[in-house]
Amino acid sequence: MKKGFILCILSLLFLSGCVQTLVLDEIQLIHSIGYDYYDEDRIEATVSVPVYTVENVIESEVITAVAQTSRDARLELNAQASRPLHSGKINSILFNEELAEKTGIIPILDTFSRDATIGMRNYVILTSGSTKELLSNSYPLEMEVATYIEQLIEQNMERQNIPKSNFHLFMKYYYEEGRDPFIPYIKQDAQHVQVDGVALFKGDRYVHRLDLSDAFVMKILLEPFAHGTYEIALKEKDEFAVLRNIDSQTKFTIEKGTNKPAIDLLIKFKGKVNEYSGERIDPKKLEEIKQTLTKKLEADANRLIALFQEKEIDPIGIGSRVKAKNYHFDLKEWVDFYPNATINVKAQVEITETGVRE
Amino acid sequence: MTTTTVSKTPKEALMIPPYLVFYLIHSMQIGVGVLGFTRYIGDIAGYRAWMAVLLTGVLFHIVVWVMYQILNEKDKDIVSVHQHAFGKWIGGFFTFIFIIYITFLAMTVLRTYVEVVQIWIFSDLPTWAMSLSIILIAYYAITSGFRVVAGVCFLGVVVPFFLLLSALAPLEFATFRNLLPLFDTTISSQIEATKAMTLSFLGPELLLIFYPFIQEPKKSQKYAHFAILFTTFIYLTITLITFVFYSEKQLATTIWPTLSAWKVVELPFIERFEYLGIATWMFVVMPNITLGLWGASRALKRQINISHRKSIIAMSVIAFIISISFTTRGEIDFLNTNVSKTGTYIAYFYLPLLALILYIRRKIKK
Repeated sequence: MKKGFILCILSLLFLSGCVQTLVLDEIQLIHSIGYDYYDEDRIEATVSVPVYTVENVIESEVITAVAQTSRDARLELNAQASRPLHSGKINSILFNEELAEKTGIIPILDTFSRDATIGMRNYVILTSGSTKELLSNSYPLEMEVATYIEQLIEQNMERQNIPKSNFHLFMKYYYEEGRDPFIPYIKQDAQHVQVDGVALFKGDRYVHRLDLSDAFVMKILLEPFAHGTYEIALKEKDEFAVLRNIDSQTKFTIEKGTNKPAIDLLIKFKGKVNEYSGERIDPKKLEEIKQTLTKKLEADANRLIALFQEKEIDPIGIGSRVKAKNYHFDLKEWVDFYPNATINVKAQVEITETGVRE
Repeated sequence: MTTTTVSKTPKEALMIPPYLVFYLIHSMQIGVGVLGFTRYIGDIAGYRAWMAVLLTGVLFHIVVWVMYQILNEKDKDIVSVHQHAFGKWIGGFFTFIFIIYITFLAMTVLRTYVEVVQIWIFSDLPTWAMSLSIILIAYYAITSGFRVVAGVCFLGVVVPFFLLLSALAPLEFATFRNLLPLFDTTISSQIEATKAMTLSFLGPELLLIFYPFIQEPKKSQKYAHFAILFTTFIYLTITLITFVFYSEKQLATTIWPTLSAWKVVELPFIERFEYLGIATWMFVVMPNITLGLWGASRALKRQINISHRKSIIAMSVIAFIISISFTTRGEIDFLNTNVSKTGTYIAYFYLPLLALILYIRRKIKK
């Protein structure tokens, strides 16, 4: 028995030499990767890697390569790197608008989803301009661009108007029947990167961008307990109020057992007045805010859904809800019906707080 | 410590209390199947396949009941049951088939686990190195006697228990309406899914070998049923969580859904939870291999009257050869499918038939 044990230990000892090691100091971790449209059948890949300087400041550097598929790109990128590139720490995958519009992004995301080293919480992001420029620019607010982008998106999804989205959710919605994916949209100016709304997809092609205010309405339609802020203009000139969402929920009432159902949406909005430009909020004013908000929410939601129908996209997953209510769901029949479906939105508003001053 | 005598009932000191049967059966059932079974049943019966999980659970309660009917007559194991029912030669032949089956059952788990490690962590790890070290550990445990084997099974249930908590993390991205409409399914697709589900439930057959090692074996039946109940509960939980986490077509593209779902677990001290999960999974895999090899070597020893030590060495060598002869995904899938088929026939058809034959023989004798 002792012999057996010694044999075990010995075998484990000599086995440790069998596998190639990945020592942190000897590999180059990619923090962010961006893809740009190059020409009809080529893409340009840019990776942002951190550079650890002596003064404990992390800066970033980029490597760029042009290739036919993302795997080829990897080869070209490694050909320029002194240490092997490793994708285990990628926290955002960027696509430029043109690429997402013309060739679609699934071929690239597919290779990522096959890779066991890639996490599923990564953000997939659409950029208005070139991702290469965005990643190679340096920003005064943050030293390392990849961390900057990650925190920017995280903050905006958790507390502001951008609906929740990541690599896993993109793939999930892409494959779901009666639903289309969406990702955050960012743009670059001289000093900052700015979140500029939500990019809507039909399949894996980018079709439309919603601005931040519409993104808020979309978020309420999508997620219960969503956060975010929403501005309304009141009757008097230059008078406005900014509302912050506390707890909202959208109730979908869908006729059962048919592929051509009647659909009613009820938005239950519960929020507080964050900012108000006027003097004081009395009960009359509060009532006015409530009325205006109800009307604006209904109008915005109706306009958004009409837009989705016109573009034949379904980012809020109405189709998947119809499927859940129907034992004989037929995707084709629903898709044909969807653009002409009558979808009514009603809103119920409750305002709980008006700030610390009356 | 190894029993060298070929007595039917082992010494009192080598026996286990009845409640340990819960750990033995449950740990033998949970293997690498958990990491990927949802995809197979989801492919067949869509998102209504959770019914097949319940159905398989019920079927295995019957299988356990049947096994106790076979064994309760006298305190004996499959080898003497076979000799009793079919005579020396035919009975011996069936015992050999059974030995081959449980060896392959254990090796399926081992080979698939090595594959998981190769795909997720060490892509250039040679199969022989990993399976050799695991078989050596199993060998070491088996030579120390059945109580140690039972101990491995106990640890295999208790240590990985914390992983159940991690299974809740994917609920952050849950879409519960994926499960609706609740009963949109056909009986035939549920039966197909039950067939696919059977592989993950296989393992209680080992009871046919370790039965004589249980003190007061008749008392252990309720623990065996409880083990099946617990296995069903775990599989059902994982099925429901996987189904709300993935959309249906996305699940069809994922080979290891349970593993991939770990990719969204976020912990401050570890970036990638999969690595922790796969490493801990070794504790889940060990009982399958240890108990499987123990069962095969014990049955071999009983059948051909050699010392247990010799039969352990023989079985370990055979197991090692089996584990390195399957190399590609296709071959491993082939191994899984065929072990699953054989297990299905043994559990659902052969065992009830055996019970029936024994029953009839008993009636005739009276």
